[in-house]
Amino acid sequence: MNPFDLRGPEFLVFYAVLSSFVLGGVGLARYFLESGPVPQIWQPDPYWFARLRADTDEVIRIATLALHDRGLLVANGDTLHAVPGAASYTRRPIEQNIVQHFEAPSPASSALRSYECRRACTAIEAQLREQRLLPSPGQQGVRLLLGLGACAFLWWVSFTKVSLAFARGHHNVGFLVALSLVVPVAAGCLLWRRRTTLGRRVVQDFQALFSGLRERSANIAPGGATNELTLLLGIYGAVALEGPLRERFTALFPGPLPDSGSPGSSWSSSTHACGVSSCGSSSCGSSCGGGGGCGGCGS
Amino acid sequence: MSEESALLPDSVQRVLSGFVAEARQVFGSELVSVVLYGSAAEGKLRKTSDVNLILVLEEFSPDRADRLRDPLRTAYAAIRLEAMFLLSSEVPAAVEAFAVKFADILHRRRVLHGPDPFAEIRPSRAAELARLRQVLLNLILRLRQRYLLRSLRDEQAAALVADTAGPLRACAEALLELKGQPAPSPKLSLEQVAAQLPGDRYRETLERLSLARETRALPAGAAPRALLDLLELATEMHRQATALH
Repeated sequence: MNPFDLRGPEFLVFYAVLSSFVLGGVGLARYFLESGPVPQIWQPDPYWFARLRADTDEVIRIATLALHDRGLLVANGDTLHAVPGAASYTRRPIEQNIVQHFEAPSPASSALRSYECRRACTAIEAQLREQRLLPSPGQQGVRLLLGLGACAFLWWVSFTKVSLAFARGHHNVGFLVALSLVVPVAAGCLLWRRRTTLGRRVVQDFQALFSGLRERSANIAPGGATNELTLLLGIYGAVALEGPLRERFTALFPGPLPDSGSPGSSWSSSTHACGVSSCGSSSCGSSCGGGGGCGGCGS
Repeated sequence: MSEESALLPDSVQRVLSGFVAEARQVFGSELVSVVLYGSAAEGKLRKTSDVNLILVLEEFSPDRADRLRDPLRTAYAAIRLEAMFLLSSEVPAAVEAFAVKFADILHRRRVLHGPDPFAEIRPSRAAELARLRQVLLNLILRLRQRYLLRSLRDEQAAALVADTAGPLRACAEALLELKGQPAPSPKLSLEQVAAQLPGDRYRETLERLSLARETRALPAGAAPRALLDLLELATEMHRQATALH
């Protein structure tokens, strides 16, 4: 039976089912083409991970809070300024650029608009694209081809049916045209994901690996003596902060907290779906030489 | 390595394996042994536990050690890895100097790399006794100070109770061993020491000690009382240690 001979409502059902299959196939093709074995690394760089999990703004926010936690940036309300000589205590380009940005007192959020601060994130982004955790230019091309191919096929089907309908003197094609207009939107939502499948799995993998860090987030001591805070922020985002650290973050960057970016989260699903970011833009050691736990050192 | 740490959670095992591999790569032939000790070695790691490791080295070269800085900081953040860097020439002296700690290590350890550096070593009775008295006295003095500083805040007092569990249990283990009555684990040692005291007054305290260690929290008002009981128990253990020869 020729599907183009189906009556109006029946053809609409056929077209909807066909579109679902085609777009589902396109989504699956993207999923598998961008998949791969999760690299067995266990030492994520916090800024690298923050960019993978979220966006450039998130990297700048995290680096700013980490520098503030280390005492290299001093807060007065939501304004920050760098302490003298702070630049010499930083080693990462993003940190150096942020310290330079705050040499003159400025609101914390002004760093998000700084060209120099944003530029420092481009190397991280390039690295993520090279590792195929964010879509590389080649992968973006494949996404475009898949999307255009699906749209072209589905539009050809609807165009053929509309032509036949007009030839047969029927002009009630509004629903079919509307359905055809939904196709590119649906294809965009399926294909325009910020991370690749592999990138998404790496986020899940590291969030599972560092789940213990999140569980003890309330006990992280301020001061930057360890890199627990930076890793917590990088891997989970500010939603993982508790107590005074959270208050400090929201004082510096008012507004809703971006969430952890885990694939199951609402922020993640809403933003990934259409490719738009809603963010916009011891005493024991002294007696036994280190090591705790057994407590035989008299602490 | 994988067989020896099979009892550990996946995340701990992966970070631990990664760290040991980094240490082997960084120190090369200078790395003699890697020894896991404490609750992780027993496969009884809790969410609040540290993962304790000893790296026995031929020498501590700063340029090599620098390369292990980031892995160590990451491993600490991920699984609270506490690493002790011990030269092989320092092993006998360390075992004598920190006899109580090493008595516990000798009971609960897994060698993850190289030969067992503690296979032929035991602290002397004199060193263990002296160190036990010192550790207990230190614990008593700190408990008194911290009781006064923290007992008004239930959550801080509960954390202090939790932090007291490890040292007190290790001391109980050493005490029983010195008395010739070794118990299978530090926890059972403390229970045995408490049970040998008149009455049954410490049973509830030890239950609270375990609860605080698991959850770092206690029912309102329970922690200050538990702290005082632990102080009393530590004082009794110190009296027993002083009486030993």
